[in-house]
Amino acid sequence: MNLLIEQADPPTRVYLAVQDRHWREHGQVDFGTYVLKGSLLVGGDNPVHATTSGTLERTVLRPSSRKNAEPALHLSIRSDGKDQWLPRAKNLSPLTQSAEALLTKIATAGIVGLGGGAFPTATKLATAIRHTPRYLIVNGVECEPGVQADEALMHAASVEILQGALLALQILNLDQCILAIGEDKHSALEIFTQKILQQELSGKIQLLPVADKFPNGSERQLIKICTGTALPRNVYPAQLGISVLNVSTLYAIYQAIYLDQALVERVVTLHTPQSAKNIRVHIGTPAKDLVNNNFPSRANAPAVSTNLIQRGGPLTGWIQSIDACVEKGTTCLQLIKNTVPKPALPCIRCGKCATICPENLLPQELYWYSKPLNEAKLNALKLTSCLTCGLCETVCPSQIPLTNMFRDSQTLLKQYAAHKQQARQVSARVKARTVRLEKSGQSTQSQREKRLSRLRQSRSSNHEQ
Amino acid sequence: MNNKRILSHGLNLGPESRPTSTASIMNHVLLALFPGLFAQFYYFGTGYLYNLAIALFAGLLCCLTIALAMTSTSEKALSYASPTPKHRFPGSIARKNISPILLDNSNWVTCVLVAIALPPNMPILIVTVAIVSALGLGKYIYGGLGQNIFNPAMVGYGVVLISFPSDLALWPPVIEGLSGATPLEQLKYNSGQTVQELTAGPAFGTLAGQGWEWINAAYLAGGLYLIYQRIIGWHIPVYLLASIILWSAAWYDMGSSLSLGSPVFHLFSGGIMLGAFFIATDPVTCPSSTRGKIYFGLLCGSLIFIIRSWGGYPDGIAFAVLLANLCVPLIDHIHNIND
Amino acid sequence: MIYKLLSAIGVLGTIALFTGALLGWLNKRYKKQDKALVDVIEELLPLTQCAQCGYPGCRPYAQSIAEGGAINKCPPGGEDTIARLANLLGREPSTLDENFGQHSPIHLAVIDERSCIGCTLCIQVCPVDAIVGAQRFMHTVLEDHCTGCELCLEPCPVDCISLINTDIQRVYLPA
Repeated sequence: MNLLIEQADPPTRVYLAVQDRHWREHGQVDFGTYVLKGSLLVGGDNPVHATTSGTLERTVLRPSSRKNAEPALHLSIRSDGKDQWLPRAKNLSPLTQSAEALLTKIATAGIVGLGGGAFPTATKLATAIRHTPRYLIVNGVECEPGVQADEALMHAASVEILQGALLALQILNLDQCILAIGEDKHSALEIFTQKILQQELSGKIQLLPVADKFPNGSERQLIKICTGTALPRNVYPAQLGISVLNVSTLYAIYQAIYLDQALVERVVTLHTPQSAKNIRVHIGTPAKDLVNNNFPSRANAPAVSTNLIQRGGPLTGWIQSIDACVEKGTTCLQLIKNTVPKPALPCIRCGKCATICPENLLPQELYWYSKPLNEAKLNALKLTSCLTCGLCETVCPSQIPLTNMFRDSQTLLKQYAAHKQQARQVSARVKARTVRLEKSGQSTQSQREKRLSRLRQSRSSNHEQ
Repeated sequence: MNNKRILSHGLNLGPESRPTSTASIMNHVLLALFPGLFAQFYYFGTGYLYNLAIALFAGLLCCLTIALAMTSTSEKALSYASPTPKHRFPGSIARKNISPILLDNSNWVTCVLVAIALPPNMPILIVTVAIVSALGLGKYIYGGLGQNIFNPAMVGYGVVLISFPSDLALWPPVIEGLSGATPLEQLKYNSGQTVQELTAGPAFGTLAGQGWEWINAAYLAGGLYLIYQRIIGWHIPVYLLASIILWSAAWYDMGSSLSLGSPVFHLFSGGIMLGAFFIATDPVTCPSSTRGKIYFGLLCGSLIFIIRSWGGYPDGIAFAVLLANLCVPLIDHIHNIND
Repeated sequence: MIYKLLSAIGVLGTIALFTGALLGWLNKRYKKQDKALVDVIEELLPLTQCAQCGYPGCRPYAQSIAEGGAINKCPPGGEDTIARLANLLGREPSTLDENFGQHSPIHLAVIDERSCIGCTLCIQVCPVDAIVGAQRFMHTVLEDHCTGCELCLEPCPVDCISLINTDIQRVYLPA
């Protein structure tokens, strides 16, 4: 696979995931309006921008990008093919702006972690600022085999990435950051060494080659490599003042602050059984259109006839319908043949998974307690700190689909916790209401009795008179 | 996810995690048993071939019966589930259900372990009872591969050890013309001799019993191969052997007539290496956390020494492992995370 | 003879004492926390407090189930809740009793603030106090606390309360 990034044409329609409530409360434009690329459609905490110019049609239900989720609400935009940008501000001088102003800019540009987590970057940075920033780590490790979106971007936009890193340093009020790049990415390392020398940034940006071992590119592993100490479980990096930002996130920050562009495109590695390439895609492009437009059908007719796609890399990805769309966190899409997976053998608890687990968990036990979900046991076994990196599944001699099972269990555990929380709240409120009603009932009763007795007294006194 | 596809993407996993299959793990175990098997043939003759043949044949019959029983129940379940079962042809169902039972090779490992744990030239009845108890009572009654709480081979051996005690005490002499007592028995029932006098006897070699020391050395070699191949971890064998060394050193008594034997003697007597590397390490029935494995190894070793020295049996691998298996849920409950 | 007897009693007694103490300690150390059945049942219910089951809330319904009452009276929970309750209680799962209403996804109540006249009727019926407002002042629904019980729809004299989809999938605890 070469490292050139191809620019994708805008598809006929883009579909942007939106929550019903957000759309209701923060919707900025009406259906039927002509919108330009980058214009704000939904405001609020999770802003949604039009990713190409065209007409905002309506809301439709389309397959969600999340695993096993019900179809989700999407805004559909019919593209006019011109892909015309909203007029953007010029002569920006970010170096004189305050951290708050820059953070607001990042938030309104809709920037989220582009390494796959899709957590709002502004929130992440703001949390780190609240807890006194200590480290900034720029993540260019991209260790998952078959995913090259970040590497391609590092080739194409090294200067912009460095500028983005400087902006992040300015926001966090730090002097130095670590730029971690996978050891296998020789040319990217070379480019950055040169660029750092050229721009005399060696005092600010420290280049760190990281061993090419999966999952060194995951946030927690990378922090362990860079700082030498492992994060305690259930602690977010930001709570210790550590920020880890992906190179493509920094590129988006650069675009938002220097060019006044919202996050509307991202680089995606697209695999078909025959070939693979890196494409800059409009967010919201359906995977089917992406494949059809970028791989002319006569070249690989059999591939497009499948109706499944794997979102994410070969280890961490999950399979879903080809009608699902590219989202902000999508790093890699892979066409999958419709094959029936090999049935898994029983677990023999051989422990290979426990040996390789980067978080020192015991996947064989997690598997046992995931089958009929045992909430207490899974919490005791620290399922929440599972990275769903997929290594356990790779080494499993019985070929048990562990990763997706753990991902499902994690979702369920979160939902159960939320339900329990809600249950506590509801019963407290019901109890409070009952007590209040009883009290007020009693007081009205006693008042009425008092009044009655007074009435009786006055009547009897009247009689006497 | 298909292992092969990930490898084609060039995933760097390191030497400890070559992708394997369950069947190939079992093949490695069978391969690692070979040196020990060979040593046993050498010292005890073809009686072991006879044991093995009966055990494997009984195992095959047992597997087929279990598979057929499972098939008929699953067929019933199918017919309950849908009025027109898809698999009308019984052969296809049978093939589907039997093949995993026969092909994951774990049952063959169990059969071989039972065959080599028994003394040579056992009657057909005893071997068959051992195999049926091992597979039926030890494994499939719990739901098959990966579900059992006791080591299947040791369940089989334990059943016949209790049911036919006199037959199982019949170990033939390693050298022609010697009495039938094994070195461990001689030590246990020694009549006022010091260890020095005892080991000078013809039944003893350089380290422990004549022949037995080489059999144990051969199993040690096989076990080291398994550790090298990352099929088993090193914790259980090392801590098991360490606890035996500690116990026997504490009761060695400088080789007096009351001595319970030297650490070296204990390490190379009876089935200790077979137990440490092939039986106690059964992943299904040992704890999953590293610390749990350490406790398990220590517990096994201590029980082996206690049964050998003060129990009713000359060697105690089977009961020690079974008792330790009993404690595994508790160990797993206490140490359920590798931190 | 007596000595042997006594020593046997002594040894066995010591072992029994020791084992008993160990078991007692283990029981204390690893105590399973038992919840009252009513609490477990209540957690399995969707907790809308909608009273469609005929009881004044979810807790009374859970109480009645714990005392042996029918488990198929909860329309918001639907078959899912029935299955979980059946699993928990070891009863046969039955179909939803349609007399109590039909299963529908859970919504969120929203007050159209332009037409609200401030009558406080909805405030009085809300089982979870999720509506705030005062006499002749506009009312509003606290979204985080609304359970979608639909009890506020009926008393509203101007029909200004509507139900919307929440996007939030209710989940039920494992049985």
